[in-house]
Amino acid sequence: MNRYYFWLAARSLKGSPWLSGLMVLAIALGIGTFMTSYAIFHAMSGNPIPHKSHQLFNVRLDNWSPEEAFAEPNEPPSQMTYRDARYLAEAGAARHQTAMFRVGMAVQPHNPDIKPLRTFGRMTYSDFFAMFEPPFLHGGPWTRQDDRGRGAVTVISRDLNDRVFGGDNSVGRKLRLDGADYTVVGVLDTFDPLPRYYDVVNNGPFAEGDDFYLPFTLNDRLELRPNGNNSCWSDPAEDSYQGYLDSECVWVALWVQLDSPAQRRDYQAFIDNYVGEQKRLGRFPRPLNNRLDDVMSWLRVQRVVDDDTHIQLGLSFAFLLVCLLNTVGLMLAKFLRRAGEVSVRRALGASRGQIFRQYLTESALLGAAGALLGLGLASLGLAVARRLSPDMDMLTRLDPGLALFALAVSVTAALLAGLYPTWRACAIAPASQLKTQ
Amino acid sequence: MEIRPILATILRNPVGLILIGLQVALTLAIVVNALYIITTRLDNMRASAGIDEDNLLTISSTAFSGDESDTLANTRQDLDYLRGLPGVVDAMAVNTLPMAQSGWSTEIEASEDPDSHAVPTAIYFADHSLVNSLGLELIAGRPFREAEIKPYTMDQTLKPDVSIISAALALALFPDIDNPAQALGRHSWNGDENDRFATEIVGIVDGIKAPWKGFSVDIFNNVVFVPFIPLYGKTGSYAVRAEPGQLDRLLGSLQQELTELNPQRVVRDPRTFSEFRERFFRGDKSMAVMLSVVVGLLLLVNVLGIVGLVSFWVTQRTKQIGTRRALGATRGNILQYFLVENALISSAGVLLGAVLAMALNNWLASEFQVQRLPWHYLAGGSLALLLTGLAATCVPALRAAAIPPAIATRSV
Amino acid sequence: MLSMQNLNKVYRTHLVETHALREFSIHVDEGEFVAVTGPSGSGKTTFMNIAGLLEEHSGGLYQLDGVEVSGLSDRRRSAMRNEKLGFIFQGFNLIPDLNLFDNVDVPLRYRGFGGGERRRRIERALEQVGLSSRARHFPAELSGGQQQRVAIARALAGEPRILLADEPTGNLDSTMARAVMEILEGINASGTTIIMVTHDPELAARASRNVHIIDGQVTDLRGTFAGSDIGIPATA
Ligand SMILES: Nc1ncnc2c1ncn2[C@@H]1O[C@H](COP(=O)(O)OP(=O)(O)O)[C@@H](O)[C@H]1O
Ligand SMILES: [Mg+2]
Repeated sequence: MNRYYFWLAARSLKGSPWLSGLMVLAIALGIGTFMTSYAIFHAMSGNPIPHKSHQLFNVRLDNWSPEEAFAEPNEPPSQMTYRDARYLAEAGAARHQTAMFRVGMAVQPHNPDIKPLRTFGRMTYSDFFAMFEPPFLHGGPWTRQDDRGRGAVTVISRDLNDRVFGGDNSVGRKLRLDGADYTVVGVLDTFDPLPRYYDVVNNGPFAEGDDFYLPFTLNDRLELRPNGNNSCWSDPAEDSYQGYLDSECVWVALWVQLDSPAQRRDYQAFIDNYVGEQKRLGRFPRPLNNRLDDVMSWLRVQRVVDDDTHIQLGLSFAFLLVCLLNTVGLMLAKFLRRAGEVSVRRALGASRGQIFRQYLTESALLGAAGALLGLGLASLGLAVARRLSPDMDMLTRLDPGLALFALAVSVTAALLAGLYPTWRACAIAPASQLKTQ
Repeated sequence: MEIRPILATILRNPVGLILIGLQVALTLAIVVNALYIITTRLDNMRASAGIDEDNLLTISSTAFSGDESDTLANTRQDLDYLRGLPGVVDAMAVNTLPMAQSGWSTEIEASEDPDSHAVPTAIYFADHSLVNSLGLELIAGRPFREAEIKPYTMDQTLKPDVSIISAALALALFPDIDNPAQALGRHSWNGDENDRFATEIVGIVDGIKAPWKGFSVDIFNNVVFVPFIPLYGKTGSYAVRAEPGQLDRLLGSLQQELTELNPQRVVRDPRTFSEFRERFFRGDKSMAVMLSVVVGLLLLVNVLGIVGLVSFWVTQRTKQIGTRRALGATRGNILQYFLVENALISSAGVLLGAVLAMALNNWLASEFQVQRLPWHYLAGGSLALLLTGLAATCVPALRAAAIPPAIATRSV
Repeated sequence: MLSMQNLNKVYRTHLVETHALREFSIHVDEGEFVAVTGPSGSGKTTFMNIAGLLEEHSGGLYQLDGVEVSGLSDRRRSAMRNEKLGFIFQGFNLIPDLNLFDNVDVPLRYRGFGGGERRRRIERALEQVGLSSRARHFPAELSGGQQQRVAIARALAGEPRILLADEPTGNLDSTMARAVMEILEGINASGTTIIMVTHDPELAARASRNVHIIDGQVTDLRGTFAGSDIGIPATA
């Protein structure tokens, strides 16, 4: 019987190609526009590490000025001082933890045919790899031993490995960075979490990843300045690098892995306790205001989905509504134009429910057709978005999941739009049309 | 005019009113707000950076090894070389450029009291060649003197003796003056409570922009130039101003030439100022384009919807129209009937739409950084929607007017 | 009052040409009550439509109230329909979304009368057909006979010179049909010319003159021997 409705619906759509075309077009324009914004929104607001986003926490301590908050309303700084981050990273109070900051370095390939490169990397601890789980192509992370011993080791990206080592397994080979050699212990495979949650502050949530990773402790020797945000509310006490490290300037991020609510409570107590101790030493003039944000909460705090994306999503949804109102009108026209057919069917014994199903099947079919065309329009829209912002390339993809979502939205919308016209069609009395003819 | 019976008909069968009215209302609310956002963004994009935008490029180099004194030596060597190149007007070591989206900022005060009115401002490093190197408009005072320029390493606290500031910053800093030139010779203050220092303002430039706009506070027009050569570790970066028409040639050759000058480093690809500008306004541009598409499609869908529904009504009322014709209605009367009907429905939609538009604008203003909607957008939008509605109605209404009166007796 | 000479009407479709009227001549005097009969498809409606300026004829002459109507503009024809003619249709043709008052108002609006004048005429016309009390009702709330009386009121309100009724009782049962006929006789008595198509020999017999149309041509049966005694089959 369902196949019969389906056949009737298809026949009816073919029967009035203009009106049907107009309806499909209205739905498709709505779906196409909405899906264009939604795809971008979806990519921006996605969970980059679903299986442990509740276990990874960004840590913030409020060491800011007594006079004003770092940001309203009473937000602690988005990064930490070097000394706090380093202390917490090495205190080992969580299962995993790492401090990190981004640096720029020159790579001098040993092969003279390859031109030197300016690259960007991350000073971090070995726990980085256990926490954020970048996939390894060759080798693996360095060890906690290397962290403690300031080992001259590095993990490099697949891209850097391709450029400097021609894509060979470079584990065990030397990479020359800023004039010093580091032994490659691991080569990562493509590592593009979306958004790049572990560093939305400096690198931007949708920017390129790191070329290399070095043990944080090497900084004792390298004395690097961050290639990223640095904010100070008072000048360093002393004009030297050590003065900078000891200052209240914030430029290092700290992440921890806490596997249970209990661990989380303990860790909160631990950092509160630490800040309490520091207060006794005359630091941290503001009231206790330390934060642990898990991945999704951190992305919200950092407003990773920007205002424009929200506005576009909202307006395109309203546009979809207009298209639906439009479709209601057109369906009304189409269904009631066939009032005669309905009353004949009713006279021939079709029940109200059967007529109802017949018309809803037709609505759903319209929705499906609209979704198909709409997806075409959405990929056109995303291509435009890509042209406008090449750096948003990663955000402008339509995957099967999104296509299914579009289909669901479209069919639901068409069914909703078809509800009133169908109800009107069902209200036609069996003989009403016969009588006046 | 038969307004009362038309109104009665509409109210008796309000589906059309609801469908078209809501459609017009939503369209108005979206279109007006979107158009306002689009205009704002297009206005943004017209902003000038206050420098010789068309002829500037930046290039930077990072040495493989060495300390800041090596960086200073390299910088001097590079600048000498660049300044001597044919086709180069001048060159200068910089920390950043207007609209580059990263850089330095601080808050300065007009008096020694650290709690006095603080003005946020961007900081640019510059030397004596500033005016020439960036193509600035110095409206008062003097450029830096060569003797005033000192190297600056990241470990130092920034304590300039003299500065050149933007006209907007001068006015923001000294509310008592009405001509930025009056700030010449005055001092700005900076530094922590127990370490205050004053900087004499020796020059005023007009129109220069900060690297970014600022989120909570607007610093886009507040700029202070300080007389230092920035030494950022092993990296030096330079702004190079080309003579008109020479930019492309320099873009092609500079990386190679600087590398040859000193091979113990990485010289990055030069970037033109236009690239910074394009990147800076990318968001505004995509927003403007995306919203324009939505506005265009919305109007299209609105027209399609009206044409569709009115066509349906014409079909449904064929006999009625024939009867009216038989009773003496001219073609014009029939056309008029549908136009009046649409005008009534659209007016209701526009009224509701105006309320929705204000509500939407309120929401946008409270949630996002969108300004209050000027009333003429609402008025213009309403009028435009009414007119498109009437134009759309004409299509089926002309068909209605062509229905022959004999339909009255011929149809069942 | 109405005079047609050698009128022709040809309908062309892509397949066939139908000669709905051929060399059709008729003359109707002021105050006559003409009943038109004839088999289905013979051209009765075509005659009425041309008489009522709803359609144009293909050849011949047609004078209405002393005006030669051939070649008049659509505007002038509309104005003449509005001022000189009244229509009553088989299917009543009331506008379902307007109440009785507004239905009767329709032709008056096109005439351009002021509000007071219209109100007076509407009330009088509704009174004439005995429906004043129902002025605010909608057509769907009335019986067929009542609806046709509203249609008559609508035709009367403009004080036409000629009333054209194409099978006005075709959708009504015999009691209702007689009631409608009585109203029409009253109107005719007050001087309005009436031309009425009917299949009902009994009603035709009550007219002052009978005209029979076969194959697009007139056979005039003067009122004296009106009736069905010649045995013309009345096709329904
Ligand atoms: N619009 C038209 N197009 C083609 N043929 C028509 C049209 N209207 C009427 N006819 C034909 O003209 C002839 C006369 O029709 P009509 O005047 O309606 O007859 P009656 O009213 O006597 O039943 C019929 O053969 C009919 O089929
Ligand atoms: Mg007929």
